[in-house]
Amino acid sequence: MFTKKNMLYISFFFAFIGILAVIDTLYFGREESFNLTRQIPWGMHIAGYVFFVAISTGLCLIASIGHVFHLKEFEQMSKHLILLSIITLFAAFFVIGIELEYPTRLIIYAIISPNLQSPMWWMGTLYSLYTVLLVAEFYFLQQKKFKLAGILGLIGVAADIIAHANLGALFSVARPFWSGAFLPPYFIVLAIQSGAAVMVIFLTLIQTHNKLQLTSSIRAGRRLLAIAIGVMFLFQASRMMSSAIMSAPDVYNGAMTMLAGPLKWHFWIGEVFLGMLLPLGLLSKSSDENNLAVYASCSAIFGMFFMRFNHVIAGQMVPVRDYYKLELVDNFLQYTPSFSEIATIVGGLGFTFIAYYYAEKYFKMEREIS
Amino acid sequence: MNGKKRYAMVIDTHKCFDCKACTIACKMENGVADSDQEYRNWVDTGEIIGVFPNVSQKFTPGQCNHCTNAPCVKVCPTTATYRDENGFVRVDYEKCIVCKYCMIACPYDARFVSSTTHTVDKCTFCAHRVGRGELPACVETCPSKTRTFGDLNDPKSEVSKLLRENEYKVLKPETGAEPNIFYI
Repeated sequence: MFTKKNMLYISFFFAFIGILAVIDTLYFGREESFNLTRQIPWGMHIAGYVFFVAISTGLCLIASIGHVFHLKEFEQMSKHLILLSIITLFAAFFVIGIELEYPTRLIIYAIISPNLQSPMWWMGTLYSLYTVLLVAEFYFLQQKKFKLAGILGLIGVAADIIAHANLGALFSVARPFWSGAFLPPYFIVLAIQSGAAVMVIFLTLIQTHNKLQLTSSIRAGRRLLAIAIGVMFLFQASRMMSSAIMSAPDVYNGAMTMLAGPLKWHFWIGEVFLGMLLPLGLLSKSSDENNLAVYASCSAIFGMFFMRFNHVIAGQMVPVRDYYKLELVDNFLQYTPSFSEIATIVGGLGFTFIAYYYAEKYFKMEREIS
Repeated sequence: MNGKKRYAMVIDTHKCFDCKACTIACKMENGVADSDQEYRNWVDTGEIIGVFPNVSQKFTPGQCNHCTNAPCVKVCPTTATYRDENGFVRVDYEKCIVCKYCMIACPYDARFVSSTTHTVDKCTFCAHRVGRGELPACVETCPSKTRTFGDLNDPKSEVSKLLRENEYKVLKPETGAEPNIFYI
C-alpha cells in the first residue's frame, strides 16, 4: 500500500484539491471562502501552518542532532531530512500565504516598518533566517562540505528552537487559554514528535523504494517518536488537569471545550486516541520486520493535526464579551472549517510529497546515504 | 500642562435604554458595511433582573477602548495599528496584512475584517470629526447623553468632572491594557 507510486497518485489528487481551494479563495474572496468570524478569526489555516512548521522544525532538529553529535542513525539520512524540512516549511508558507490577505505587504512592511515588540514580526524574521540557513545547509551537504554544513546546522538548530519557541509565545500573549510558560517547550516537543513521525514514514518509503538499508535509522525514529508521545502525554495531562481544576474561568472554559464541549470528539478520539494511545500501542508491537511503525506514525500525524486544531480553536471558542455568553446555548462559539480551508491543508500535504519525490530525483539523492 | 491631550469617553450605563442610535450613527458616519459581523460599536444586553412587574435590565454600550497600553498595538507585526498623537488607536490600512493577530489580542472584541477596506477596521473615536472640533458621531447622536467625550488632561472637561464626582470602572483591568473608556 505504501509504495511511492501509490503515494504519488494520492498526492497529485491532494494537490488538485489544494488548487481548487486556491481558485475558490481567489475567486470568491476570503470572507466568502472561509468560515471565519469576528469572534473566531483564526481557523484551519493557522492550525495547518503550525502543523507544517512543526514538522519542518522537528525534521531539522533530528537531522542537526545527527550532524552535531555524530549520531549515525540520524546523520546518515540528514540530507534527506533537511530536504524534507525545507519542503514542509514551504508547505507552511503556502498555507499561511492563502490565509493572509496581503502576504507581500508583510515582506515589505516587516522591513520598512517593523514592530520589534510583536511575536509575529519575530516569527517572520526568525523563519526567514531559518529558511536561508536550511537551504545553505542543504547546499553545502550537496557540495560535500560537511564541516560548513555542520556549522550552519548548529546555527540553524538555534534559530529553529528560538523560532518555534517564539511561535508558542505568539499564542501565549494573546488569549488566557493559550497563556503559560510551558507553551514554548510544549511546541518544541510537538515538533520533535511531528519530525519523528514524518521521518519514520519517509525513511520506510525510501528503504522500500530505493532499496537502501535504513533499519537502524527507522528504529531510532520509532524510539524517538515513542518518547516524544510519552512526554506530550504528560504535558497534555498536566495542562488539562491544571486548567480544569484550579484555573481562571477563561482557561477553565477553554479546557472544557476539549474535555466535554464542542471539541470533545476532536480531543478524545483525534488527539488522545489517534495521536497518542494508538501510536504507542502500535509502536510497542512494531519491529524491524513489520510496518506497524508506519501506521503508528500516520495515526500520530493525524492526531497531531487535531492537537494543533484543538489548540488554536479552543483558545477562541470562549467569547471575550459577556454578550455572547448570554446569546449562546452552550456558552461556546462555534467553528466548522469550510471546504476551502480543509482543501488548503490537503493541498499542502500533496505538495509536500510531490515536491520531495521530484527533488530527490533532481538532486540525485535516491540511493544516497551521507 | 504640556498641551498633550488624553481623550477618553465616560459611559453612564444607567442612562442607556438600548435605542442603538449610536450604532447607526457610527455606521453612517464611517461607512461601515451593513453586516452582523461588521460594527465599530455595540450595545450589550444584560440579564433581566427581578420578577415581573419589578424587573430591570442593564445595557452596556461598548467599542474600542483606545487603551494606553493597547495589546493590539503591541502585537501588530507591521505597526499598521498605532496610537496617534491624540492617543487614538488607529489602523493604517496600507500597512495592514490582515493577519488578524490584533483581533485575537483585543480583550474587547473591538475589531473586525471590513468588507469595505479589506483590512482590519475599528473605532477611531471619529478622529476626523474630533480634528474638526466636533464630537464622535455616537456621542453627538445619543439622545440620553449616555456617552461623554473629552480630554482627561483638562481638569475642566466634562469627562474629568464625571470621573471626579462618580465611582467608575474600566472593563477587564486585569489585562493591563489601561483602557480609556470609563463606566459610571
